[in-house]
Amino acid sequence: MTTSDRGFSFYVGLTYPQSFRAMKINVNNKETDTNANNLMALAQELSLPAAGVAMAISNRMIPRTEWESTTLSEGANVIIIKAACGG
Amino acid sequence: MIQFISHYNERYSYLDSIRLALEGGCRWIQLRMKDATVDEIREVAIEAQRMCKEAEAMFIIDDQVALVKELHADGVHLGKNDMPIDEARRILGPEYVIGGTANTFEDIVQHVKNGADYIGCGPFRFTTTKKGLSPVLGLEGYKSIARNINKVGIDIPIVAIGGITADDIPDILATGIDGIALSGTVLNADNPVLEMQRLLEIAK
Repeated sequence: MTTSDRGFSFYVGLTYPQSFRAMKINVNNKETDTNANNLMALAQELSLPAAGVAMAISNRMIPRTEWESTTLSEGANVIIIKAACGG
Repeated sequence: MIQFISHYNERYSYLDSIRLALEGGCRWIQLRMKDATVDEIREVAIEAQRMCKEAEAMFIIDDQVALVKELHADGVHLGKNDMPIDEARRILGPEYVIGGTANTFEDIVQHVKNGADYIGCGPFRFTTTKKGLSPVLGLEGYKSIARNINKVGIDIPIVAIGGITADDIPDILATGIDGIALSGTVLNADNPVLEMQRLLEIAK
């Protein structure tokens, strides 16, 4: 690798860490890549419907009004209950 | 993740039980009034739904598909002798949560095929709340079911049900089952609100 190659990857890493590094979380026990950093963003990413959905993180149900303030971190365990074709 | 199933005893009514569970922090309620008429259930359901809305809890009604549609509850739970899941799905459409009771892995596969959104899987142990139940599963039963659902990639939540108390929760969740449905153990505690808080803490 040349010096300029290293320089370039270092630059990219600093500038676009979010868009390049999806986080791995578990959604209903399935490993899932996400760019969402909170439950609201995850709900949008997964196109969850506006009603009839419940989300739990670490086995705790989180009311919708707290989705935005509930942050996701690497390896988070999220369970989603939703109507079959609702999302 | 805990689903509270309404119950009553000499101290508390069905509505009391739901109020106490919500006060204790539970956010998933199933209204179950097994031998009541639809009119009796409707009366309680309207108030229970109001309380759940206020607490932002998911509100499920046992068995009564038409009532769920009429009240716009969040969903219905169907036991083994209730309406088949695919028929309920046809009536309710895609926007309601449908839960189904299962005793075996084969039941779960069938329910998923028919459009269930979550499974109440049990009984964990013998219980007097429900009569005429299927054989108890125990921890080994859940381990085997969790292994099988992982193998075939079933991804709807599975909650364990049937005579579960606080002491059982860590072991059951360790099998890979997603949540717990509880009823009697909350109301029978000296302080049901504190008991629910404790159960939620244990299930974390």
